[in-house]
Amino acid sequence: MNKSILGRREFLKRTGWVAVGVTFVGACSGPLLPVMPFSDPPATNEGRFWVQLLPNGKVRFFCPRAEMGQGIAIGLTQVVAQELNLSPDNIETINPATSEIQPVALTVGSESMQAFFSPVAYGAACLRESLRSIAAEQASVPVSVLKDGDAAFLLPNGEEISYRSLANGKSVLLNENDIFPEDIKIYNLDSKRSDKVKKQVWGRKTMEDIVTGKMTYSRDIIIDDMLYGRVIKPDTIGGKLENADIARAQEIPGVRKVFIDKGRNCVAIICDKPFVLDKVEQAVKVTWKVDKPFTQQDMDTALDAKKYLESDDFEHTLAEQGKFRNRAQKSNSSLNNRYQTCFVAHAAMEPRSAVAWVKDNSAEVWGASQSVHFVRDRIAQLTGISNDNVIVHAHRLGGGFGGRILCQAAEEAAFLSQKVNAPVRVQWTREEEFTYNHVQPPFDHIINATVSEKGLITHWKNSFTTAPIIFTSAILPRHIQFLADLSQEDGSPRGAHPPYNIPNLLIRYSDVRIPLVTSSWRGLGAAPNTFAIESMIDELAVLSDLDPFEFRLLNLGNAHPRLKKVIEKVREMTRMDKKLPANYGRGIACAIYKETPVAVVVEVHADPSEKTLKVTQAWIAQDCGRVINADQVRAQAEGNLVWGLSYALKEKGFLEDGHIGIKNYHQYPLARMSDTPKIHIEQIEDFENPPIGAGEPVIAPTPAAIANAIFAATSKRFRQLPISEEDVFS
Amino acid sequence: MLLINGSTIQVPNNVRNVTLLNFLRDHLGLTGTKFGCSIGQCGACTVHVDGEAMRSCQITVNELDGEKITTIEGLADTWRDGKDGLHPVQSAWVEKMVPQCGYCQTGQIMSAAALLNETQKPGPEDINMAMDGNICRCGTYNRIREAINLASKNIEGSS
Repeated sequence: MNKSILGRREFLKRTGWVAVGVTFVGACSGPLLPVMPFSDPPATNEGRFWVQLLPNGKVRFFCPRAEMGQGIAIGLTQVVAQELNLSPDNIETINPATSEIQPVALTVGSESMQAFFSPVAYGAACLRESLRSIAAEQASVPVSVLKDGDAAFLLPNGEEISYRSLANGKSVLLNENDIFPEDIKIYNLDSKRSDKVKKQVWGRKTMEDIVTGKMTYSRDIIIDDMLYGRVIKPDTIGGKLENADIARAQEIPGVRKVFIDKGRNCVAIICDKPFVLDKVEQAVKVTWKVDKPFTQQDMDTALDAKKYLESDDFEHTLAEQGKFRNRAQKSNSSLNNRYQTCFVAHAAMEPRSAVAWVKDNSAEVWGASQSVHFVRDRIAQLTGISNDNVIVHAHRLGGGFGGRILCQAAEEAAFLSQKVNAPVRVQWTREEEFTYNHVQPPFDHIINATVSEKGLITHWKNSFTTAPIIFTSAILPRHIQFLADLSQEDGSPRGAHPPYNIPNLLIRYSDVRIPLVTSSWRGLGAAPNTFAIESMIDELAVLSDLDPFEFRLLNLGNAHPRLKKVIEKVREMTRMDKKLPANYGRGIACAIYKETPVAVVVEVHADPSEKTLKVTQAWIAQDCGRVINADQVRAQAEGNLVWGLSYALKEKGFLEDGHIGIKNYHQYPLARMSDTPKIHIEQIEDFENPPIGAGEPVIAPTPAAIANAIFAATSKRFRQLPISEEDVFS
Repeated sequence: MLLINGSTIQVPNNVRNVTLLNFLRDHLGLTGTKFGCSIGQCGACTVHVDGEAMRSCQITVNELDGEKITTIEGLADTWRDGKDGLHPVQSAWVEKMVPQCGYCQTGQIMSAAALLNETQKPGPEDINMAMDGNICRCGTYNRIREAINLASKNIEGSS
């Protein structure tokens, strides 16, 4: 069965197509239906096809996750090594091409360890037991007498049968028909065994490749005789190509082809050498036409939560319980606040890039994506070549963050390659990366909440607006967007449900489709939604005259014991009762990101004489279940804290002249070395709890913790991100 | 003519006006130096010109005639006992497991190595000054700081 089709059907089912009786699926095919990224979690037995014993006795692991810095290849390699008793020298991990593994779910949402731990462990255990059978047969002994050695089995007399001798110059792969017991022993689930693997250093070879410049990113790919392309796209959102003068550009030495493609709404350039691309682009004169430019004001109006609240008309209801109508409000125990965030960019360090070679009936692409099979399917649709004849070679991503599911550079390269029957490289400039990739949408929350005299939240009404994240216009063509809009997705509202025990709860929102293309950004809705919730919680704690930790614990009641534990842990780490110097303040915020509970305390110094705001320290307590590689989990928490800080204090997307106004880093400040605080991390771990996500949780509470800390330091409450030094000292 | 990583490199006329970054990557195939922004804002393309950190996207090849250039590929060779083929800054980076996506790290390392050439025991502010021009979107800054301190200690210990 073609898995991409299954994924599409599943998508349609989820979006309500089947429920509303649309029989569209069978009635049409081809380009009317969009290519969707495959998103089903893997079945446990799929892991059998991701491991292989090589002729030299080493194990090759076809890592089914895209590696973009989250360290998942390191963690999953350890899982394989644990099952097969391998040291780092005996295992090689590769990023498989689309032809080497079946489609797997796209790499998103910090779910890799959670969803892939079991299949990877199971697959490696199956290989181990197959090897044990081969060893037993060779040595003419019963399987049961063979003990585990290091990349080997041991006979009762201590003699070793190495994996190398078992390979005997051939590869060993598991067969689809091989049958393994479901209850095969999984060594990763045995806490006594895990220490040996944990004590070794994993990922060293990868680190060495990176620090010496040997690691190949998609931007570093060199294919013999490749040409160099660039696609000139509209200078305004919704701009249509009116006319273009390409005469002068065509005469520049080194140009292979310049052409206008009205259907694709672009001018395309192909050169023999990369060095002339800029010059040729400058020589092309294009006139774009847009009926009415989409302005910042248009966007603010479209996403104005107040307007929706006044008309009491929201697209989706996330939670509704208890009573809201006809209640007498005591003004001294209620707050009505608005919290807003602007749109933001991924700004990954590597602008996207790919080389494509489209031949008559086949195509190859060298690139990097959070889903190489999605790239394959998009290229197949674009070129008219069947999926099976498109191979996408996967490379390490120079940052993903939800921004590299789409594969615009690969599509452009394929489009150009098809025109010239040669391999073509397309590397986006930084300006293209900022202008033509999708963004995290703005969020506008209006929260009305009431607390009792005892400090218990009795009512919580949150009305918010944003734009679609998962049902993005980047993937869904216009003719089915309206259907997608009827359904609730999990992107925009992620984290919008407060974890607290609140009897009267009403959460409604609209994700309004706007011309600016919005989609996934690290943590999806979690950071902006948690910013609103945890800022409000802080304000309610102040109103109730309660300590912010106590207020949270009180309102959690008996709910979410693991969240309560991380809050208590972070309180213990920070010893918040200690008196701070003047102009210092600490703020706390917490969240359950998907399933992972996390609490963050941030300390800021707002120096009125220097007019500087500095985050000086941060404390993180997190519980992501069983930890496979503690150092990599810490690395994610550190990076997430910096990401959250950058979002809270630096990053500001804006529209200008009908387009994204950011062209390069000078217009989009990000956290740098001198902005980074000391970070203290504690991991709460219970081996019995299966692994859950660690790649995004800390982002969720960090911005609110910062805003709450600024309030503690300055008594000024900031309800809009980013918060600038000018705002703080104005 | 340029001296890159100890080799003399002739520059053909048609690429004399190309940036050093593009020359390294697309003419010589030395892809360890990374493209990030092309306006000298992110530091991903940092190399050494006569031992000093320079943004290779901000200078053309013809401006560098006769200069001694070191890229990440040649950094280890500038260190006298380059253990395992690594410069002490690179070794410290591996020891501290600094990289996440890793794309910016070669530029970070070149900035750090230039800092340590100049100031053997940099203080926190020296590190901020030298490293603030290098963006790491994954946010590995604290490990970068730790790795610089470790490299400083190791360099001191070996002299």
